[in-house]
Amino acid sequence: MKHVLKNQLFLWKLCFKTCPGYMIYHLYDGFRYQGVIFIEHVLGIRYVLHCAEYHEPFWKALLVIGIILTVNLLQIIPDGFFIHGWSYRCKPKLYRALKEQMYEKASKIDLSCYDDPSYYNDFVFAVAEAENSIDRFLSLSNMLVQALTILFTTGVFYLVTDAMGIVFVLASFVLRFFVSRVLNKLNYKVRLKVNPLERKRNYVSRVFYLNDYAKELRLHPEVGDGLEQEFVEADDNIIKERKKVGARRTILGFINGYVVGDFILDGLYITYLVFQAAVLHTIDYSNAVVLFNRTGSLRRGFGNLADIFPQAQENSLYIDKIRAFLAYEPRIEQDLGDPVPEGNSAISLDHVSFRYREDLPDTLKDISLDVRPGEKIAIVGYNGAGKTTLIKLLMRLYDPTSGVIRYHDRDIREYVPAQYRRHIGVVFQDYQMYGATLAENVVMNVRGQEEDAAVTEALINAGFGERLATLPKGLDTQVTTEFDREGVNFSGGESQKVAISRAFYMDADILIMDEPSSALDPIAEYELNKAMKSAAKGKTVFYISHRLSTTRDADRILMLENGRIVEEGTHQSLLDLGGKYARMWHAQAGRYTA
Amino acid sequence: MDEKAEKKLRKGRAVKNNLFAMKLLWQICPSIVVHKGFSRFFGYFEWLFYSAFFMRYVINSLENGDSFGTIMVFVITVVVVEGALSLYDKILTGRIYPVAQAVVNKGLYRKLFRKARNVELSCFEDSDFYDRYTLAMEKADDRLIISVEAAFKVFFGAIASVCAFVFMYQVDAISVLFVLLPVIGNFVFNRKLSRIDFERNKDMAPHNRKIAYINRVMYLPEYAKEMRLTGVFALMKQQYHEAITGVGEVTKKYTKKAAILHWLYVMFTFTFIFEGLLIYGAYRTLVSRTMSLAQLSVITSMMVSTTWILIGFTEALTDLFKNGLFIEYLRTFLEYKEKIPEDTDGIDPGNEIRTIEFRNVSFSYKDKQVISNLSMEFRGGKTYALVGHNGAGKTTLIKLLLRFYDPTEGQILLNGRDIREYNLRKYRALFATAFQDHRMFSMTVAENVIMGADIPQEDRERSVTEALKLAGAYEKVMSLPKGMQTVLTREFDDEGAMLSGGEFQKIVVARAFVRKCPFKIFDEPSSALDPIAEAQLFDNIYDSCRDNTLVFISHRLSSVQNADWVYLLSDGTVKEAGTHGMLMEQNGLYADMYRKQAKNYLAISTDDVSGNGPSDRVFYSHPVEGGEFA
Repeated sequence: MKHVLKNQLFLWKLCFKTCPGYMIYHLYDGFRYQGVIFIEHVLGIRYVLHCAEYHEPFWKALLVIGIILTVNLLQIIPDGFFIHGWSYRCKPKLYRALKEQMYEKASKIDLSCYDDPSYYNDFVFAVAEAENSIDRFLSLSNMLVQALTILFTTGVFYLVTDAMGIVFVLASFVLRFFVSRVLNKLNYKVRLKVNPLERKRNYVSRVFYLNDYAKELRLHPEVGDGLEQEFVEADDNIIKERKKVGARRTILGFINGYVVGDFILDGLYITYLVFQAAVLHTIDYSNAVVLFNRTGSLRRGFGNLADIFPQAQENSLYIDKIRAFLAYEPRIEQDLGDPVPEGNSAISLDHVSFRYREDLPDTLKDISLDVRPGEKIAIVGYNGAGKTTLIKLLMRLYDPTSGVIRYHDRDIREYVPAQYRRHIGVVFQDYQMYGATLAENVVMNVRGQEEDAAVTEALINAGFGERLATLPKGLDTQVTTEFDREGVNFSGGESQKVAISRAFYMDADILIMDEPSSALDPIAEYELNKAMKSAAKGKTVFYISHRLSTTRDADRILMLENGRIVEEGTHQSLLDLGGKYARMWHAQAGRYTA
Repeated sequence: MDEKAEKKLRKGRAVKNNLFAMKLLWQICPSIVVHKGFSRFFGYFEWLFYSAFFMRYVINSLENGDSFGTIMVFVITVVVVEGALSLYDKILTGRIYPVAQAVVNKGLYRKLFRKARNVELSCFEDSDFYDRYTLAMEKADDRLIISVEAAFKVFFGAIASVCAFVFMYQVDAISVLFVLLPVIGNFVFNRKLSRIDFERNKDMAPHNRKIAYINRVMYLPEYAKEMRLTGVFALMKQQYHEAITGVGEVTKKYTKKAAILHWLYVMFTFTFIFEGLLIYGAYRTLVSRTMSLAQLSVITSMMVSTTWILIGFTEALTDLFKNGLFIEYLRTFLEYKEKIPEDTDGIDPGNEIRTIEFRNVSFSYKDKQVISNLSMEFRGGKTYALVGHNGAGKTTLIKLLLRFYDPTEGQILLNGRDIREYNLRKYRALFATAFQDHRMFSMTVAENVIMGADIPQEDRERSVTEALKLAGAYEKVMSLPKGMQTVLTREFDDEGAMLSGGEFQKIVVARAFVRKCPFKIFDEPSSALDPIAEAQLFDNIYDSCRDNTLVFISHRLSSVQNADWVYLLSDGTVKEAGTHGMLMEQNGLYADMYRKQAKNYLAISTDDVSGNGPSDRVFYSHPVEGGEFA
């Protein structure tokens, strides 16, 4: 209970800090809405009926209605601005206040969080629910004010006019509360059974409608038949589950809706009113009419109040996830540490081991390595030997489980990670294109015009020059059709060149290339390698490739197997050694030399 | 939602579309149509009864001094009838609707799946078609029901509105005039407000799309690395701010106008009729003394319900048009005439491939010519390599061969007969294909390899084992907790295996191995593999396809040498064709490519590479007819 309140308070503080005026009006709006209804439907109608019943002078009725009209004319003026202006402007700001915190966090949490499925699911869930949780909070707070307004105004009216009415409404409310609980439990049980079936249904749906699978389904129509069968079965099972509880649901619904609802209020209460008016003459007609008409709204007021807590509880679960995510302390703090000295230096790995998760075996085992500044290192090996992991450690995307990596003779953990990483230009296999201009896709940051020349040069060095010349908007070309129909979707090879130009543009001391040429045809690969050679002059280079022709000129080749460096040396020395590298080389080159 | 489409709909298709929806739902589940109609009718009936009749009767009786017993007989009758209606309503919500929803889901989606499976592949690649189709698919079952419901709402709402007018007229003729106010409020001002909402949404859409995009970038793991390594986060943040500012700008444009309309709408729809009728009623009872207390109280409750009935009616009308667009998409999709229906019937192609011939084939995709006047031949039992630049048309050619597309010009012939004459499913069953873009299904590894191929139960394990071994994935698969029975993807199974790109690629290749088809196609099967695995894979492909026709696409030209025949594609047509040796002698594009790739392996200058191919393999001489490949 306390926790639930605390969580709502967290959102209130956040929202109030972002748009204080809006939030206050938002609460006022709940009061205004129910207040006006009360004035019109209770006070107004009652007074006119009262005048009619007791033949009061007409001007009195006119005066009261006139006042109500004036109040109405005025109170609705800000309402339009609130609904059609303020909300549209403020809600995105409220969302942003929360989401920007989350994004900031997302860009800083350890990369290993993404490898942990349960953490990652929670994270995705928190991001997905951020906007909804604010929406729910806004509607809850408005509902609360509305319910309180109803209870206060109508409640007082009942107490003053005829207190017994409240007994009827309360009795109905309490009984409904208990029946609802039974009904909700039943519904929850059905939900649990139906959920996995719906998940299956949605999966099949997705397979049939995503274009990713369209080709596959045409090649293997039998798979489609099978999936369709599963879909039908899922639906049949849902039908079965729902039929099973149909009778119980109907009966509970009937008790809930009629027996303890309409029957008590429309049946018993009206009997009571008629009895009072016709037999006992203790209630006048105008009051009877208004009292009867208002049972509905009083019932809604109680109902809303009863709904608020479970809804707040549900919202609290979402807020928990959001707060847990925001409270996460990354092991690698992005902005803490010492500055990195200028200039390039040697990099050394000292008995470095690494595992992704405690319960998994080591991905890298006891790696020691000294790299001179400007040295060209090639890393080769089988799929899954740990090559990309080694690169990730060098970038400090992960910290070694044991051992130390040094740069400028200090443990890289002592530097500001963001600054340290700026010394390294990297091209990964799984680079991404962003919905931004081409120049921004190269700079990978907010861009200033003065950088144009450097961007163009980087693109040309990466072999993108010819394509650039064909783009009418040049560097300002919008990349991807994500939100610009005029945008350009580059082919795999072209995108790869853009990704490579990023590393060139950074002009970092260390250059890391992880299979940069895998998607390229032989000619493009050849040109890329030529460009790389000139752009990499003077830099330390790490190069991962399955195409051994591209790595043979390296100063040193590291052969990785099962997370260990098993062979190390120049191309020639490794060939002379006649070990695993030699075998690999012959497997690939043999086909050319045979 | 573009304006044109909307306008066109308003002009008359709306009615037709709603009839279509009604008919469709009737076919799938007639009971839900009937019940929706009845419940809508009873709903309005109850509403009118309570506001127009019930209170009037009770107060009239009270005023006339009827006995308590008489009034109670009426009240009890009403309570019992209401009980019966309530019971009906609870049966609907407790049992009939939940069941019917699943029935509709099953029936409708099966129709949609059938269609989705039967339309040609290019429908999925045409973004206009695809956008509309996804709009039609999304929650189609719920929306179909809602559409039909909206139609009933409009129909019974109109009747109820008329009834409400008549009742008010009966009580007091002039009071009906007050109803004009909410009519104006709804049909004039609210319509204009909806128009503004629509315009504003349209203006905001690009900003909202941007916000959604940024959201995705921020949580998808594939962006996580770059978010940490580069300043792209600052870029995203800036874009986010821009989008929010953009939303604010758009809002500003409409706020004043909307606020004024809102004021008018509320005043006309609620306040004026309300306060007006009260004053009018007070005048009639107090000044001219021509209205009874019962009439006054009926009028006060009638005006409230009439206003809400009218609002409900206008809302239903708006819904009807909104759904109209959805139904339009649903209908165009279901009535779409397939260009290459997947269930095309025709001649049985048998199980033997003697020749496949491309005869002057051209193919344009979105007005861009991808294949131009291409002629080539595949002979049964031979091995072919397709090479060329990225974008030269290699994959398109495979898609034409599989009849995912039909040529814009020219013909493709199997055993001398146009492939369009064959039964499509049987024709496609002649091929086993491994594409480079692959998808895993949420099934076991074994099922992902078999993919529904016709393999007797007892041979399955052996076949899958063999295929996985040939693809080089066997060891990895067997290291998974449940071996071949491990479920792939975490879709339903939290224990499901996630494999690396290279491993998925091997499973896709295994799919092609497991099928006993006369023609096998591999599209860059080795791009993610290490050299040893790659070399092994190509040996296996050659070995296991000895009796089959084999076509593969590869950038690794060393693997091409052993092919019986090489086609070099450039700009969508065959530029060079021949054995590796012939092409090297020809000294054209292929030779240039080969030398550039081989150079570094041989560490000798480009000119020295002769590349005569492996000597241990016998070359078939491929007859060149009529200088076709020149």
